[in-house]
Amino acid sequence: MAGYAVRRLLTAVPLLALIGFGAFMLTFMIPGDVAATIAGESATPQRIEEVRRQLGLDDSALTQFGRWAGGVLQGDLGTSMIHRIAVTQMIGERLGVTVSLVAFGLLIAVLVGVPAGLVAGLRPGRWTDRLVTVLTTLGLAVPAFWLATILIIVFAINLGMLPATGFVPITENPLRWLESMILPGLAIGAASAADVARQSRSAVAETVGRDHVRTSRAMGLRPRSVVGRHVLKNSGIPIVTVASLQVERLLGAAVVVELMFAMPGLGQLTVSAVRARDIPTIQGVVLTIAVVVILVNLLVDLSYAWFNPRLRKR
Amino acid sequence: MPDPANTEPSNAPALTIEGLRISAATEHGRVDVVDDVHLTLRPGRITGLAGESGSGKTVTGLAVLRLLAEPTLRVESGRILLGDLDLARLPRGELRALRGRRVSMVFQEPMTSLDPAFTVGTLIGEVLRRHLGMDRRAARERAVELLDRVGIPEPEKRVDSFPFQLSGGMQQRVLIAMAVACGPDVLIADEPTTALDVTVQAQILRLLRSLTDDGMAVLLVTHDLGVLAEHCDDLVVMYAGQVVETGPVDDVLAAPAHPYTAGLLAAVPSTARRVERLATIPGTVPPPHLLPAGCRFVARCPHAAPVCEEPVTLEDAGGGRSRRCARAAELDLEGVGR
Amino acid sequence: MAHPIRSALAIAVSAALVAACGGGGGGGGGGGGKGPKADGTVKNVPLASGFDKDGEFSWGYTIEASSLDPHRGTSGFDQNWLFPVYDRLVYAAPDGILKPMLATSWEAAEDGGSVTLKLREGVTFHDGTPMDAAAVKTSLDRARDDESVVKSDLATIQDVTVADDHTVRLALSGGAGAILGALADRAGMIISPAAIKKGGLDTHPVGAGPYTMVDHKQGDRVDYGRYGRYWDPSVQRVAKMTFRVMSDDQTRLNALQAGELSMALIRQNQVEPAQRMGLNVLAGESPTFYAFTVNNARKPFGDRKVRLALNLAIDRKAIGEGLLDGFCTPQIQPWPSTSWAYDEKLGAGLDKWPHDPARAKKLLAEAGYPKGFTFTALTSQTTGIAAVAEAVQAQFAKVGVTMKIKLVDASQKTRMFDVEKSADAALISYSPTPDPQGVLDRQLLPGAAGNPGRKASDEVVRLAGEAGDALDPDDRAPVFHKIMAELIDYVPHSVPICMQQRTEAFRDGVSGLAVNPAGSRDFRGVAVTKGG
Repeated sequence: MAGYAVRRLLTAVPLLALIGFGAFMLTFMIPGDVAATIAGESATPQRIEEVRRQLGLDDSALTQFGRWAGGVLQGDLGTSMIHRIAVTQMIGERLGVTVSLVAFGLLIAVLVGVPAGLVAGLRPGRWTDRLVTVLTTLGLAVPAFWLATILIIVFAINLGMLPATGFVPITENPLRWLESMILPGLAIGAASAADVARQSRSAVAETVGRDHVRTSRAMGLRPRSVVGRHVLKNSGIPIVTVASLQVERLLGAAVVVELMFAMPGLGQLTVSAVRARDIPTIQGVVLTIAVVVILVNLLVDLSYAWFNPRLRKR
Repeated sequence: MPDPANTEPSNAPALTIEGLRISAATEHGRVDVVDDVHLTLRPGRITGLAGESGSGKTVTGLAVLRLLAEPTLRVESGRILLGDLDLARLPRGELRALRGRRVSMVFQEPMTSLDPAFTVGTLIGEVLRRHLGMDRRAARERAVELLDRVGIPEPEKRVDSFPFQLSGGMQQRVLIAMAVACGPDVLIADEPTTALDVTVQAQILRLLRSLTDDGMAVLLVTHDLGVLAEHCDDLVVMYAGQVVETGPVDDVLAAPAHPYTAGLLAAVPSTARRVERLATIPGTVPPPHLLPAGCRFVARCPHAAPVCEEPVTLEDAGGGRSRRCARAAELDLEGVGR
Repeated sequence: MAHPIRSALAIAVSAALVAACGGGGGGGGGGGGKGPKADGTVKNVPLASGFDKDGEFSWGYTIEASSLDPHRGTSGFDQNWLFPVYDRLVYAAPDGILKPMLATSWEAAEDGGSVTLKLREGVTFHDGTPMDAAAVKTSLDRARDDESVVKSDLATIQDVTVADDHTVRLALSGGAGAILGALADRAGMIISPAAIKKGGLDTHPVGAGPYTMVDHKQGDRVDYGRYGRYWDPSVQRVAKMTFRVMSDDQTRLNALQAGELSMALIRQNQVEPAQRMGLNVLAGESPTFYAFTVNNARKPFGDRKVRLALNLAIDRKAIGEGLLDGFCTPQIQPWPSTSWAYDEKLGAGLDKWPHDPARAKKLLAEAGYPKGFTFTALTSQTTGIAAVAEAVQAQFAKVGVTMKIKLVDASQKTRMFDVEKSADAALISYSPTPDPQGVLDRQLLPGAAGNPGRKASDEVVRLAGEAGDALDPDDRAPVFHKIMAELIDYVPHSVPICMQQRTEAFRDGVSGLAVNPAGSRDFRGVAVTKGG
């Protein structure tokens, strides 16, 4: 198992290189001129050219990529061209926000989605199943920004129960962190909860009809063992798969939700970096997110082996 | 477990089914798929429940443990008596406490009937812990003993195997070990050997037989007359949802009282040649929504007469036998010698 | 980042909820009672009595500072984040008049070749370093080095010399008056020399302003705390200030409503919704203009008749009062009416370049384009400029001129229009310079970055030199009036369409506010009442 994990991580290296290269070249295709931005509003064309030379922006894209990749290999993601701060430091400060948000969204997705899917899937066709189906359809149809707007108006502005904006690090004040996470977490997690519920429902409905579940019943096991152990563990792979896919969905939704709740996360950093064509920052964020996604996928694959022992002998 | 002081199998039935009627939701509305089923299981004896597919034998077996796929299938009336307890009416919680403890079941497909996500030790142990309150260690030790009991070599090793690591025969033994782990009074075995090859079949059936030594009653649901002839004590024949004939196996085989039983036997030239040829009786079983009011076999029966258009009841014929045929008394049907 | 659908949704929902709750939430009357303006907005809020000395003022803004280093940050809006921390040599009061700040007085040499500044004594930077002439020299020299983004603002300074501990002399190549204006902005922010030596000014600013930076969360906020040894405690009316980054327009309004901000920038189209929510709105002049600019080295824009024709084709009133709801004042003068450079007699000047499509057509015919012509204008997708561009496009079409719009972003516009000079025209939004001279330097003179055609009226060039030499606005104003007259005659490559009003919403209890016509948000002297 450990060997498998190491092998997987090693195969991730060329993947990361490819992602890094792709992102770099894509950034070059965005029109605009970071040198003009950096030189300032009243800069003369000469000054802009000078900045371009200083930053090495007049080199070919490949040369620039090589320089960046060389730095990355030495653990240096470079310095933001706009903010003049180390990219690792900027990402470090923002990662907590986005990770909190995605984790909270995922938590909501799993805590709501799996039980809902279970209730629906255990008795397909019942009113509970139909209710869950309606709610999941709704949840998937409602855009995060719309839900966020409603939540802010109701819970932050009209009821004044929760903050409308801002982020408090968990290390600073856990309670206020929680308060700051609830509305954005709900806004971001609703669609994921719906997706998880839908997939859980079909996984559970399929598992419940299996012969071995009937065996468990025939042996007199209590419903909580039948459902909690046998049904859930056998539905685990599709549920974990859909949950892991949520990580990507949530990262995407985080961009919008971070802006709406004025949370200084990676999404916000990405938007501003892309606008400013701040190449080192864009690259750093892309790489960080790629690593997160690769790690999540690795964990998911490792969990498959737990859910399905057949996969262990590889 | 029976009282060791009273090892002689008592004549009291282990389980009695009386007037069981089960309906199913179909595209033609709710129709009865099992009607007026009576049968008795006795301690230490294997009762074969025979019939073509669609005869209602599997549904009857599942109904005993109330494992019918509700609400599609539903018990409409009748009693399933385990001693004084009517399983058909027992509250769910009490029923669950009896399942696997006093009444247990093994299924046709061992491959799919064992949870692939757990080791066999865990699966057997789970039953022991549920009903006998054993702790993890005791349950594991007992699981090893049970694996040994059902004839699995190297049980200490096998206890940590996952089902997919075992052969089909071994899987069925594991399933049986789970089912008999708590020493039930009644075991329903639904086609336990159909999916297995011939040599393994015999081993499994001999295992079942050996398990009845302690007084356990077995209902062996099968369509294989050879299996019935060789391994059962009593026989119950079902046709189109009804019991058409019951009795000790040898008696029934020698002299069937129902033309359907006779047809079945005629279709098997020799018990030595175990061929699945029940369907060689001309015609097919009528679908549940098109059953005639009288004898359900009438359309396929070589002996059909006007009297058969009237409803027929299951009649006691003495000698532990009963049959559902209006012309039983006048027919002399051919059996098979043994 | 305007989300019209979202804003509409938010308004509809909150209206419904307010109706359902039978009112509530509103602070009563909004700004209506305080302001003289018909639309219920106010231009300033006099200091309220009984403000809370321990109060906290929080402000929401669209973009964060690119850097907290006055000389290195690349954004023209960085100074808003820097004002609390950095005192300047000179203070530009809301009325545009230059007042003492770190310099208590200044004097120009007879020949205009230098300006001598007397410095305030007993002032220390936040790190304890004394603020003296050497410190000022270090700061100004740094502001003029090659890496400085404010270098061009101080281009006329030849040398900075320390005359004595509290006197510095700036040797100039001219433009003594203009340099003082520049010293009231980023270029004049004085940084602790010790901090310069230490480095890290991008995130840890050390100035001599009324507030020290307490915390900086990049992309999120800057927290400021009262500086105990500030030379003028009377302007430190709140104990804490927090400036927060909220790039989403609706988010700032939400935060105001939820009481998480005292004040925030809002868009012009948010004025009414904000007022309905019970918020007050500050609206007033800013030096931010929507302007139409061409490269007059490219055909046919070198022809005055063509430039005039296009000018007459633009309906400034329709854009400023119709399209932009009256929050963009139509005018042809490139400085706000509050500026001393503004010619009151000329006024908006709409009679000089009236909306006259018939005459525009005639002029085009005379110039040899009876059927008009086609060109491409760059415009940015980020601000309301795109809507203005579409209006101008429609107005040009009426005189037979086809203007194609190419949406680019600001840096791309700079590249294509200013640097590569490959674009015909651009619709731009140009903004704050502390001194009216900046409009000449950055837009109109032949060497200006915003003048790719390198052509200008010789008279304007001559007058610009004259205008920069005088120190006193009273002396400079007549020269600027002459420049304006000459601009009208010459028809420059860049002409204003309208002046954007700055609009900010604030909660009840905020006082000591005034619109700074220089466009910057300097909350010097802001106060809040308890519970405000």
